[in-house]
Amino acid sequence: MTKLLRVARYEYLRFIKRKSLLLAILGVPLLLVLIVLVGVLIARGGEEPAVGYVDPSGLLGPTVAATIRDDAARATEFRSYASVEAGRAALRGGEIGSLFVVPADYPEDRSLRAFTAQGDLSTGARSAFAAFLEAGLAARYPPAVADRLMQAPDVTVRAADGSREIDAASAFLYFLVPFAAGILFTIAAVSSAGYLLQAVSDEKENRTVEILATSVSPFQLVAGKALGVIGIAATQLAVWGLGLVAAFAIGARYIETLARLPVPWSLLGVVLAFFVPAYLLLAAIMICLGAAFPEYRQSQQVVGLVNILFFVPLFFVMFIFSDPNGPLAVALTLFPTTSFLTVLLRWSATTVPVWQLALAWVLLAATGAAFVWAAPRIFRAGMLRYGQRLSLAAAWRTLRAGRRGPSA
Amino acid sequence: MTRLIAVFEFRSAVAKRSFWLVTILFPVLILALSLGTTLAGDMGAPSLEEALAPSGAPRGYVDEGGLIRELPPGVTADTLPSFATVGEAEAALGRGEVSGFYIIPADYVESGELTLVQGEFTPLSPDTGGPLMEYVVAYALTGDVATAAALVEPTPDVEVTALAGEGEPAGAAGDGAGSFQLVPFAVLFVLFFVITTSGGYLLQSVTREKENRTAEVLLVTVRPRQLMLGKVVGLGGVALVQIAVWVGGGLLVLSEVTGMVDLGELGVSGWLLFWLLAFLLLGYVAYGSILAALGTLVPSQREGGQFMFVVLLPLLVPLWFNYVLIDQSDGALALALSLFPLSAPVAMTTRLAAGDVPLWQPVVALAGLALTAYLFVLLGARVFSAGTLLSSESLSWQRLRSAVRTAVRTG
Repeated sequence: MTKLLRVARYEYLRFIKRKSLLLAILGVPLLLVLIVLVGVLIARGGEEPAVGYVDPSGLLGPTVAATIRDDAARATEFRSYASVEAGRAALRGGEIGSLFVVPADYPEDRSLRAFTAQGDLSTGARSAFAAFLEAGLAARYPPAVADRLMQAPDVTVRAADGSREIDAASAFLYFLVPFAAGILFTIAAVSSAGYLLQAVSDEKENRTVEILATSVSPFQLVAGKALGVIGIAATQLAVWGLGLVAAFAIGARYIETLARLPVPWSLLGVVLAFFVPAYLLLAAIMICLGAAFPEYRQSQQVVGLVNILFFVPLFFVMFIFSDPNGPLAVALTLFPTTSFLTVLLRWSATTVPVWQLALAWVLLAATGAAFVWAAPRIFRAGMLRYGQRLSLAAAWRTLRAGRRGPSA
Repeated sequence: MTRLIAVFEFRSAVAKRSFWLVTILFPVLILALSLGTTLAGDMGAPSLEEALAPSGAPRGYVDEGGLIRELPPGVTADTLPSFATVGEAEAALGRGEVSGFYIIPADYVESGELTLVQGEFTPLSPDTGGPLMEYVVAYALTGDVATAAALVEPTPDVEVTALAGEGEPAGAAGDGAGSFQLVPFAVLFVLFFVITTSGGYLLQSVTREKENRTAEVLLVTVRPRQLMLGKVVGLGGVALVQIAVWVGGGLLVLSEVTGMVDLGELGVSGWLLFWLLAFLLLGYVAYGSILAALGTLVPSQREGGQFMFVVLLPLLVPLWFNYVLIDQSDGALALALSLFPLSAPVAMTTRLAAGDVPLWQPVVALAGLALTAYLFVLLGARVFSAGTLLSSESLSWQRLRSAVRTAVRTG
């Protein structure tokens, strides 16, 4: 046992001191924050140019613009023109960014015409003008009713059994937490498992493994390495987790919706329950690959494919959100390598049936256990093979022989 | 001699299985992804017209304040059944007669709050919102069909005309997010991947010879500069093959799917092709010479990886901000990215494909890139010397700095 721990400690310290790992641990969250910040700045910056309109229907009177409820639209300046010609001249002169022509019998006829100086109509101008029209329509009614008419209903979505309730407007935030957790955990798993592969093949490549084998059993060696790399993943996740908690704590002071977000305890439980076997599965696959290929470089090509197996649900995010109980979502939930990420993605989109959660976990745990069982045996068979790959047939023979009695 | 090396590099790269795997798998992957986004685009919230003809079990409502005296024309008790109490609605939900129901509280006009109870909880699904209830409530409050419909969808279709291209309408903009701009995205990804993969091959080919000590033998008969030039030219040919396969394959798929393809219709002009080739060529030379020099400095491929990431970072930035380049192609960020020489090969070409760019901008960007490429070739050629090729010292930032400094000084 002490030998196992010594191997683990060595591997942990060896990788944790690397600058590239430090960069990954600190860099990934920083990068995410940076991208979000720039995105926010871009979305905020860039004042919408004034919007011109020609309104023969008389709906958009001079007092209407002041009653608009939508913040972005209220900040926009609307200029009225008597004729299309006058509006076009203003557009050509750069006084306005776009010009809308409302039909004379609006709202019966809702086919609008619009002019731009060049290119397509900007979404900002279009939605601002839509809010303006709504305000014009609502202005004919008493103020209390008008207020209601201008704003879409605030819908709260509730599960029939009362187990879940979400404000549809802030559903985005509820979706963000599992989504971010899924991506961060998967990145942590994939990157640290890459280290495991390296840990296994390094010593094989430089022949140190021959010397190691005289004093450490293959099982101790491989388990120690795995333990060390698991420590790295844990460190990575702990740093990211603390960062996230801190970000939320700070953000909650300024953003009200964030403060109202309940702590997703049930989600945390599911994350842990699925992450542990999923990580073990990935780690065991990496050990098998590292042992089976004579060189790190060769195994890396296969690693790419293995990683994709774990990332596949991200390609189908849209399908999973729009049809969270469809056959594709269920299939991805049950397939061992994709279940962790899929369960997280579905978590925010629906209530995942308990039988699916249970079956998916059992399948994942069984697959993980099978690979964890196989990994030390494959490692033992492959660790002294130089220059030649461990063929599938040879690996299979080793596993069959191992079943009779593990000599590790 | 240079030609010999170029031919060898070209042949050995093209003969690799992994090259064809990447070349063929990449478009398939992109196609699958873009298919996903196109389908996702179709899955936006339904329009009022679609919401009036729901498929599957309808949703009901419980009107606690007696707000809805009459359903608007086109909405019947079959498509929107009413229940007197929440209990009744729950029973109907249990029997599967409705897929869910709205609860309209007595104080709706003041609060504006609705509750939607769903049998199958899918808050993120696009038709969870849906304009049907908004329409019914708006009709109840106004008593006028046209006003209610206009409140839900004030601008269902807008016919847009651009003054610049008067006479040819820029097309009708539906309520969707606008048409997906295929060409700029394709340009962005193809240029990015061609430059990075061929640059990667270059790095690989230099480090491989360094690692297995072939470089020592080679240097007996070839001068370092010839070696570098040969590699750059040979692998540049590989990049051209790759781009030919991707563009050819893309056009083939497009013509299979949409019938005959007219390049002009897609917004591809002769000038665009000229700019694409110019930026691709110079971008490849700039990045290729830096990566080849990097290859001589690192002792093994494994260590080259992390430095390569840093070198390629300027190309990655436009990829992150692709929506800025395409949607706000006149903005300050887009302009900065497309004029900065190291991000210009990807950023400027994307903007050119996305819309009109004043002529001086690509000219300035191209001149800047040409200058950078020239400097990088000089620098790369100096670093790419027998001394660095034969050393097996590990690469650190310090060493990188001193190598660049000596290279500059000897020039």
